Amino acid sequence: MRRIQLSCMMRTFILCWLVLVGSVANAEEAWTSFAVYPPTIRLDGASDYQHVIAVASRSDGVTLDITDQIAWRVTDESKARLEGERLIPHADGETVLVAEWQGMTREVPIQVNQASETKPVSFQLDIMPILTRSSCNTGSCHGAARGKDGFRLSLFGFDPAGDFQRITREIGIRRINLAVPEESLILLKATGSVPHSGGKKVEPGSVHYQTMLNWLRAGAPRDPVTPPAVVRVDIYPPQAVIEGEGGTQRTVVVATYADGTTRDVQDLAGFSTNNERTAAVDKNGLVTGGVRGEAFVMARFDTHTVGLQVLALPANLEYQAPESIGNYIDTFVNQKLEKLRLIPSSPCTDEEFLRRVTIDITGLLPTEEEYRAFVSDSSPDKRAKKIDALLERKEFSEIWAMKWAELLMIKSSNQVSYKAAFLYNSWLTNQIASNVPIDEIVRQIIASTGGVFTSPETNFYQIETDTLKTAENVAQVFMGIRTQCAQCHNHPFDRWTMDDYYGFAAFFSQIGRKTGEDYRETIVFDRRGGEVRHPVTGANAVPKFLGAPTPDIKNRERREALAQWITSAENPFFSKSIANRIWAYYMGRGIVDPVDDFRISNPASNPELLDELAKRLIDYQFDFKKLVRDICNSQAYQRSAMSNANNQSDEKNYSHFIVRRIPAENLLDCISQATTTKDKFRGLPLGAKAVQIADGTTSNYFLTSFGRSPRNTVCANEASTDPSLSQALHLLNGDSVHGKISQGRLVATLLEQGRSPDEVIEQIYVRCLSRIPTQAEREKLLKIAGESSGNIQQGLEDIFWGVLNSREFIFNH
Amino acid sequence: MMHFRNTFSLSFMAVLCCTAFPVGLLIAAQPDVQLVQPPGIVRGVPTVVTFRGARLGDVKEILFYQSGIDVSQIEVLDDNSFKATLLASEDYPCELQAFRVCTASGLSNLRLLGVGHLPIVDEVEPNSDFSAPQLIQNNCTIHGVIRTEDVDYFAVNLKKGERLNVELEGLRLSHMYDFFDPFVAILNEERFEIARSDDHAFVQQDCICSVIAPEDGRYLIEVRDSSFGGNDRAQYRLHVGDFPRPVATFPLGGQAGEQLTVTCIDDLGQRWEEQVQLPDTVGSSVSSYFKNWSRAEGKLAPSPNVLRVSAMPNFFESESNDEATEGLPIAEQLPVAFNGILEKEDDVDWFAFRATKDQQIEVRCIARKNCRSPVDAVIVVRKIGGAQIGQNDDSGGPDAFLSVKIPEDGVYAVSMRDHLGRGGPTFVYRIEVSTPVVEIATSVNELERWVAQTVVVPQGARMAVMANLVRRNVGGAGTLSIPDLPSGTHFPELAVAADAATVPIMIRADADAPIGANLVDLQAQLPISQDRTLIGHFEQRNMILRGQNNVDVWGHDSDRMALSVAEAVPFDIIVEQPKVPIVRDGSLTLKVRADRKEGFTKPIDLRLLYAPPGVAASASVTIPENATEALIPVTANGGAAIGVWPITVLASTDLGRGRIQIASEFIHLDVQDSLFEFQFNKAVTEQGQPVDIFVGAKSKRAVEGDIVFELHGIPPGTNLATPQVKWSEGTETLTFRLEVPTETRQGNFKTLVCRAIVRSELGEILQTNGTGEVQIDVPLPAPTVEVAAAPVQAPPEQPPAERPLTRLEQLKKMREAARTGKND
Repeated sequence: MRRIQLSCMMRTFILCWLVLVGSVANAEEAWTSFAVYPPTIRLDGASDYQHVIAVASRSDGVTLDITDQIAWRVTDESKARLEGERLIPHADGETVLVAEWQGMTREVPIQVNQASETKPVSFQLDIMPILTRSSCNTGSCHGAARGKDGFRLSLFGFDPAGDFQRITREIGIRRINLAVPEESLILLKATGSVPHSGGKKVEPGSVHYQTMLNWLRAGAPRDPVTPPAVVRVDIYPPQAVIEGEGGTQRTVVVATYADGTTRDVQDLAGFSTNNERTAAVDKNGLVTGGVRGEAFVMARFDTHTVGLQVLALPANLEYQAPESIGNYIDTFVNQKLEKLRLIPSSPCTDEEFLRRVTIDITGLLPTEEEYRAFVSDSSPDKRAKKIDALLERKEFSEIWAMKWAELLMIKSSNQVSYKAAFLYNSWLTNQIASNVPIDEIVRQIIASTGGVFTSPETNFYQIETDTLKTAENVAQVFMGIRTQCAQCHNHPFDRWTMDDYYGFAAFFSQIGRKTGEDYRETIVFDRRGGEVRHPVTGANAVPKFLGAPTPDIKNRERREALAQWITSAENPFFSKSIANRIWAYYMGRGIVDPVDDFRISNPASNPELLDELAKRLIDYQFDFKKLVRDICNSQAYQRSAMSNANNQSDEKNYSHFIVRRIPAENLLDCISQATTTKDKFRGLPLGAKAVQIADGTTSNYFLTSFGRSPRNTVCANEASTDPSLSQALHLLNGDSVHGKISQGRLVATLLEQGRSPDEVIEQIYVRCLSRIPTQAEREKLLKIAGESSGNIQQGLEDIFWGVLNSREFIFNH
Repeated sequence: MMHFRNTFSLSFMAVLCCTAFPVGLLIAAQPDVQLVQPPGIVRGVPTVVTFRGARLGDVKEILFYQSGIDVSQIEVLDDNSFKATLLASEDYPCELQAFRVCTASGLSNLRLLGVGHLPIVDEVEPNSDFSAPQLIQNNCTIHGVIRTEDVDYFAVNLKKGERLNVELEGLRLSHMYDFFDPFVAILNEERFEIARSDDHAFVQQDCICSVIAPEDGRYLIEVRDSSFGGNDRAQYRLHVGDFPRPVATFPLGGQAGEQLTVTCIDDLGQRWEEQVQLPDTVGSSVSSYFKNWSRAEGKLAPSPNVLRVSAMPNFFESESNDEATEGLPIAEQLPVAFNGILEKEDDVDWFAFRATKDQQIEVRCIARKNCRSPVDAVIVVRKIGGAQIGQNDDSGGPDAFLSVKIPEDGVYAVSMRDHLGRGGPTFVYRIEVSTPVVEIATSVNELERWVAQTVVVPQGARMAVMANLVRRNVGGAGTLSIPDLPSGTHFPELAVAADAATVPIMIRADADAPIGANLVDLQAQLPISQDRTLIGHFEQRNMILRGQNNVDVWGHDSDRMALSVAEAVPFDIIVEQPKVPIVRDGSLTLKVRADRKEGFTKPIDLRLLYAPPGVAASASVTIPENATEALIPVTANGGAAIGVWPITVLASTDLGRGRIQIASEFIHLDVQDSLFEFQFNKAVTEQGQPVDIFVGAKSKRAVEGDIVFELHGIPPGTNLATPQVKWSEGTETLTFRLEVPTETRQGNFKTLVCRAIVRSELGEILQTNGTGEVQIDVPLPAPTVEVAAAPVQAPPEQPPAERPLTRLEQLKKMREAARTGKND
């Protein structure tokens, strides 16, 4: 057992984790530090308050909620005082909250403003959050498009002005009773005093009830001025590692407004978890640890959702981290495994590696010569050399051209001629083959103008002509962000508002299209006019990047400005999204998964790794081949697909290689390669590979059955590797395997060359599975071959058929 | 023989252009040329060319639209192909030349044959491997075919600095739907692509590539379909050599009769000057162009550059004309032709001209459409120092066109820019600013949609088509004539009234007219003053290559109509002249008789060439096999155009070489106003109760003959007790007694129509109007109120009804009866 080498007190838990190597859980570990949250406190107005928590951390990273164990005091109680865990303002000024625990002291500065002022109840700041917290405005209740039981609210409160109107003015103001505010229908319904389909939502006499009542007593006023917007929401602590099932951790949620004020929104925020079994959370934000694993607890307030990473570990787990070897990727992957006390699988064999990396990088099987050369190579860096050699092959760029073609929905239709689809695909393939950096390709696509034949990248705007969908596609394909929800209401699980949505769509509002002299050619151009209208405000949306300030694009072509921003370092999404897609292809699962669904409520399983991959991609100037090289050279990629007793349940942290079915096009190419047969696709010469198909509408039964992407949407999961009965039946009974075996005449040719049945079986194994058969397999197969009514060729072809139908062949492992 | 009045005054005629006929009965089975092998010839060299297609076995001659090709030794290979020896004169223009094949039974589709001056080399397969190309000498024309996914490689050896120009005709040799979209690239031996061309603006979607050899060595020319398509008919002609190949000339045109110095600019930006003598006459605004074959260093371009010829003087762009400012040189007189080049990206050129208040100005851009400049023109007209008064992108086809009214006296400016902001040395353009051009032209309507109309007249028969007198910025009556008719054919000059635009024309052939074809001008004359008569000529677009939804991809603009005399047909067709008019809301039956020659028994399909506005005739009438008569029902709606219309019936049959068609002599169709106004009242009855149907009838005008009325469309199961009502003077209401048996289905039947039939010695005039309504109810159950039995009494005497009761009166009476308990 190794003792932990702890360098110094970490500023944050995350940094603390990064330096922990080979940690061993032990109940005797020392509690080395503690922190108080929120780190600063600001109280504005007589009714403001802020509750605080304290969290201790152990040298192995485990945390403990010690709020109850702290000796709290305020240095100047004339300014603020503590009531339980709540700080209450007294007088304007500054003071300090002091926390003492086990000889350690922490100080939190407190600032008190307008302590004598009682702020009136604000509809937008006070009432709307209660409606949201009480789920009044969800899609299943009054937030539905047609409302519920005659009363409609905007979904998740995207339209406060409209909600005010409906509550206070609709149906002859019968929802409120200003003469007897307690009898207001909205209160009676909310408290369940009168029949209410939604039941009781607010306890009579509760703080929320009182707030609503105060607002009604004040005459249900409209906010005199637009209240300051919430600019950020924080949840504390930033991370929790709960040891032992049933351990709890309190949280603090603080909203910061545009005017600089803060607010304790613990009882106004909505809490949720993405993994109930590992970390449950109640409506007050109390987290309870469960079975071993990782969870994200989300707090939602206003349009903001923030996440808290929670790790739950069994108490007293015996664990020794193996030594971390490999490249920077392994450092991050292993750190995560250590956090979860997971032991990675052992490295894969050379044979497994060769087949795996060849299929992944080239979409083909290693040839017999490649197999023999690799297996007999004894140099220690042969795997790295193999990766380098494979990356130089044309097939590498073809696979990525195909993957991008899927995302860009390249296919012919009534609107898109075959020539346009073909030229678009050729352009894309050429760009990738000539190592044009991804950011440059994306810039060209987004800012493109010209004819779809002469400037094939403009096909992006011919394939999808709807302005809003184009904006959605750009966000999803190039940034992994799904903004679709925000077309009609603020995104319920992410930060995107309708303003964001229409502001982003405004970049595409000036695209013009006209038919060229060749009627098949559409010319895409900038109309120098045209706007997108915000459906709630009715105003023209101002072009605004997602999650960034409104840019100055005067005298600039909108799409050019957008193309620059998307691929710039200022955009936090692009490089991460691309890095994640590349990672997911080689590792079987994205760090963010699905790869095109980046949102706060779907957090990265290893954010530090994703950040590093994104940073490297930028450092490599978006030459993604280099990133592929790093990934394939990592120990994480080269692990065995066999899990051990410790990591069996892990599917997200790369403790073992994730087995996956070979994608449709690659599988067909592999079958054709193994059987030495050729395929014929439209617009391509005989013998062309399925990955080279330019037009998404070109397919065959095999490709369709095996989940070839129909290229209907930009979703990454359009290409399916899910197994199905029709796939199995097609392999068993269809002509793809059987027909190709007889068409290719491999067995016959080998026998004609004088090979023995044993040699033929070995060659079948090497060609298809990149390994030689075991002795037991040899004996069994030779017996089968000999039993086939004296026709040895028939018997060997049956064995060939069996191998091609085996799971070992169909899967990459 | 019946002749129609040779003057039309038919204000509705213009709408006839839109009259579409069902395709099924049309003449789609003419002689059809599908493949020409080889696809081109060398001028001065006799070449045997094979023509393949359908129904070509009775070939008589080949009709070239450009004279100068001698056709000899025509040899029929089979029913569908023949070969002939073609010899183009030494000075024959080198380009794709249009022709039709004339057979004894008709005229073929229009096809193109390449004529060049470079020796021809045939493609020799296999040449699809880059490492094993077909070696050729420079300066030749290669004939090849791109089969499915085929790639052809040709190698040529060049010295450093030597020019290699490559020009390909591929798409322009295609036919109908055989869409061949070629791609050409020039590569060095290391497979590095030095030049490529997919769609070159100068040659439509065909290709032009130019390189100056950077080193001594072998260079490869790659030819394929741009998206690896191709088929057995995807022929191409590839001109390879160091000939001059300007893709732009500056200026793009000049004044008629002018000796013009033009700067030729090739794809590499090289420039040289040439002298061009423009013709003395100016054609119409759509056809006034001149072709110039560039000649440099004793070599000739394989195809021409097209120059605009107009009456206006040239005005060239000044040094700095990027903005509409006061300093621009001003063209003081209109018309004027501005000429310039968009030299660089985002270039905008402005030209100033002086104009006066209320002047109507046409601004016509000449760039892409005919002269094949790469410019996609966008023009703006504004007053210098004032507001913009107009803008256009594509109104002139791909070119821009704008007609504006000048708001006040002053200096105006017109700007030119490329739609995508492109520019370069070959981005030449011309802007013609003028007052509206007064001119006329002629054309004929298609009988088969998308297929340019030709006229085939069998010996001793007639053929008719619809002709248009196209007036541009002018009105008035004119005449149509065909000055150069083939011998033995006749078309007397036809007057076209001022309010007519489209008229039927009929061409007759004598029984002994020689079989053969001519290209003829359908000439129009229209006097606009005592000393000035406009002369207009024939214009026709022949679509050769059609895209999706029959989009016109490539075609030929002809200035003459193909007219041929075919072998006599073994029948004639006679339409009986109706002696009575057809009235609005009326119908008429045309009796058509076939005069069959001995032994000819085949069915004959009939249709009208056209029907007057508001008149419709069945287009699926056939005189059955062996029969000699058929009836064509004709109906006129309530808005049919009143007047006397010359009508002809087209009769077609298949004589074994496709369908042949003749026209009947004209008859008159007299369309008159309706005779009666009908008014329908709703009738209501119960099952088992008869009911009177009253129809108000008002005579609109006097007519001779016996008039009866019939009611049609009565509910199923009912009968009319009075099937006909005779008309007598003073009758206002027609009463039809309808017997309604108890088993009649209940319902509200809005199907009643009333027909007036006027019978006289001349025939029957029919007018039918609707619709009346009769409601048939289920009888009410018997009343529940018991009525004391009363002794049977004789019904009181009722005064005789003076007139039938209206429905309202009937109802009142019934109610009264119910109230009083009486029932009559």
